[in-house]
Amino acid sequence: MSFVSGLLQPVLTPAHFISLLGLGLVAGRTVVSAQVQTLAAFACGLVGGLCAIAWGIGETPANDVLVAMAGLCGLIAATGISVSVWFAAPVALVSGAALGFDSPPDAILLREAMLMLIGTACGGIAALTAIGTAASALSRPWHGIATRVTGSWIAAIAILVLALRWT
Amino acid sequence: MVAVGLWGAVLGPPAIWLLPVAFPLIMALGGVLGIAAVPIPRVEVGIAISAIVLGLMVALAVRAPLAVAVAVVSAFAIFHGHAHGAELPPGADAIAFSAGFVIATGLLHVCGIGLGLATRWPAGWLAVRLVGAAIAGAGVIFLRAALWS
Repeated sequence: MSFVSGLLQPVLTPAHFISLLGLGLVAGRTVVSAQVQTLAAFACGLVGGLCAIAWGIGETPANDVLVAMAGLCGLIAATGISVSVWFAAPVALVSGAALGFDSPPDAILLREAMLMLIGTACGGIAALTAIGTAASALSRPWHGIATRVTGSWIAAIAILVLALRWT
Repeated sequence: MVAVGLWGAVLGPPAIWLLPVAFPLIMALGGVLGIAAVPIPRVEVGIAISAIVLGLMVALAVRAPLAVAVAVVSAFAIFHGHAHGAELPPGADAIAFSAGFVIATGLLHVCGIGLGLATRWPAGWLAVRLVGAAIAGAGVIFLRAALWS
């Protein structure tokens, strides 16, 4: 059960989901090799962040960083520009790490907590793969419009969330 | 919000998608001003005028240049965003409020664009212009209420 809870956390936590959605939209507009590298960077960041959580790192501003990364990805998706792997991979690395830092397990038992962390890693990587693959398969003109509109929504949500937290 | 989508549909590509992309972004900046309690005078009047102006744009099928259309919509988006940001209920969940606010706005744009697709047919074209006139009429009512409050 803990594994499933962790697996679903990236898609059921709103801040995590908009971050994955934004990053997936950006990654989906890159070439296939860049998509793989971006996904690998995200996976490295996510596993690193989750390991830090497992070692008992304290509270971090990871959620704010994650929302800021979502906003950045949303803006890129809204403008419709294609970015290089040199931009997408570092953004994915930071997003993955922030998602990991922001996913402390709510289980008390060590085994349950570890299962939840492993589930979060699998869920985050699977969700980003699915969103990126879906985004790269979008080829019709209205798909591009939908991508841009979704990007603008993500960016607007991120701007408002950060404003609400910082004021 | 519906008028933004309708006007985009009346103007055609690229305005049909550029207006709904620009509006939430500028509205969010207006929301930041509202959250930060930066005063904007007569916000309710601005919102009422936005309904009148955008409704008239649709009713009269004004084919403004793209830059002008984006500028008009962006200016009004500031008022809408400020009103929502300033009226945020205390203790509201940041991400739930923001997501609800933005997605509701976006879906109203989508409704407007959907209605605006009826401009392909002569009867639909007339219906869209009538909807624009109705929005402008509602804006006049809002303006009276805003000026008297």
